[in-house]
Amino acid sequence: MIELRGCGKTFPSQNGRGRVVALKGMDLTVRTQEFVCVLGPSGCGKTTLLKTIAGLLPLDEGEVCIDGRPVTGPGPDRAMVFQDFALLPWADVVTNVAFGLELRSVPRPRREQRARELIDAVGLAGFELHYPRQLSGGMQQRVGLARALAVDPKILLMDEPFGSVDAQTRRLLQEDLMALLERTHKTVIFVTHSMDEAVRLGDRVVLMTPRPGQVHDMVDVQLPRPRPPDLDKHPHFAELKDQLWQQLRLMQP
Amino acid sequence: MRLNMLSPTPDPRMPQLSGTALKLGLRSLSLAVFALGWELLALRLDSLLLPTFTETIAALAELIATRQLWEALWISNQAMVLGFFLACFVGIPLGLLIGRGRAVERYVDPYLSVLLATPKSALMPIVIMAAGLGLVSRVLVTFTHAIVVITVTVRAGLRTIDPALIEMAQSFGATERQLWRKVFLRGALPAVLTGLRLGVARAISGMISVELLLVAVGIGRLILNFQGTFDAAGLYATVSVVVAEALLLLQVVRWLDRRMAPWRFESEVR
Repeated sequence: MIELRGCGKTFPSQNGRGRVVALKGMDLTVRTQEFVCVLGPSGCGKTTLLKTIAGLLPLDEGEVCIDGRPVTGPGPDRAMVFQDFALLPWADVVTNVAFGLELRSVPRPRREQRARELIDAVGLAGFELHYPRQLSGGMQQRVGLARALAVDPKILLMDEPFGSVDAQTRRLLQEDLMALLERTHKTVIFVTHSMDEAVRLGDRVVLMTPRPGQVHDMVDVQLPRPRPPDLDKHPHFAELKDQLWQQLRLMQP
Repeated sequence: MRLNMLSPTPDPRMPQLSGTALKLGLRSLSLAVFALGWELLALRLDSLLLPTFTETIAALAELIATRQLWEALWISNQAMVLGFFLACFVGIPLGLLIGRGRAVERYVDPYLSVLLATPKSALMPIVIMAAGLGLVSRVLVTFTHAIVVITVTVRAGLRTIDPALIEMAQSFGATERQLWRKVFLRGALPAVLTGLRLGVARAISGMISVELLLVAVGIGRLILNFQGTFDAAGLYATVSVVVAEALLLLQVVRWLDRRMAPWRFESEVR
């Protein structure tokens, strides 16, 4: 279980004079094995939220607890998937997928075997020795996903992971992610700015407002799991998307 | 359509000619044109100061056969190699340090800018006065020639590492030491190799200028001798030896680059 209590974070603004309140009085509880999508306009503190849970950013106020223990830094129970993939350009796919394990001093044969399993699982078999530059965006993010899963975390933190790929690839990645999670059971916090994606993937959608970033609304997604292939025809699906849109449009400045 | 016209289409008349053979052919052709142009110009001017291409080649053949050239190369390169390696040993760590530490940069940057802006030849008399006419001062001159470009290139290389990679490594629990070994040093490697390539060129120019201007030994002395006796062909031959050495060293560094940073040369296959 992940609990955020009264989280606040302020940054100095770009011009150096003012301050930007990225998070203020943020409360959120995420149950174990729940898939929570965090939705909101740009600059509403979604990424800041994710980084504080990852332990990459210290909070100014409040605390993040995982299974009752406060987060003080990155830990083996969490792994992150990045928006722009963050792959090592000088390393091939195997080495990239094994990187998390390498940092944890897992011996080479063992970590590479594990990496190959994950490469298979994300559908990249045959590309083990390619460099990131030789892969399409969708394939690069599969590498990023495999790298996160390779360390077998309890919690997956995903920062707009499918934001920089085209629409068809995005749908494929979403389907494959859902299939993978059916097998591995993770707690997922998934940041997105797509209403469609949030409803399609999440058990719950957390709607955030900008300046200061805080929870505006929470919507339970009561759609069957595993999600059926004809989800788009489900009346509740369209209804939820519309409900989120009505709220989001009021937030636009 | 215009793009199609610009892209190299195989010429139907010579279908079996491969890309590398064609490149080699074009290179030899341009060399032949250059040599011929030189030859004709020199014949036409008929000047004592401009030897013909063939005279230069003859002088070069003669020069290579002498001990004089090899001794001169040995003397000059001692200073070059020592100065260059010294510049690497100081310049690479310095570049890494100021690339990461803003505080260090604040103190080192002004000196770096001064060194970058000053013509290195202006520093040479100072070095000679301080260190005398021996090997030490020649080493110091090549060192001052090479170090700035190495430091600046390495610093720039470290700056181009994507901050997202640092964050990624930290999210997987990388320690500061792991971050240096597995992200910064690896990421800066191409820049280090570029720095070496630029540094070699500067070191050679430092080596020659100090010998020409202040300490007449080695290749510089050879050049001055030929100049003094109006042996234009010998002079041109010596200069071409220097050019050949520079090209050879650059080729060595480029080869190192390809071996150590292969990811930059893999083709883009999607």
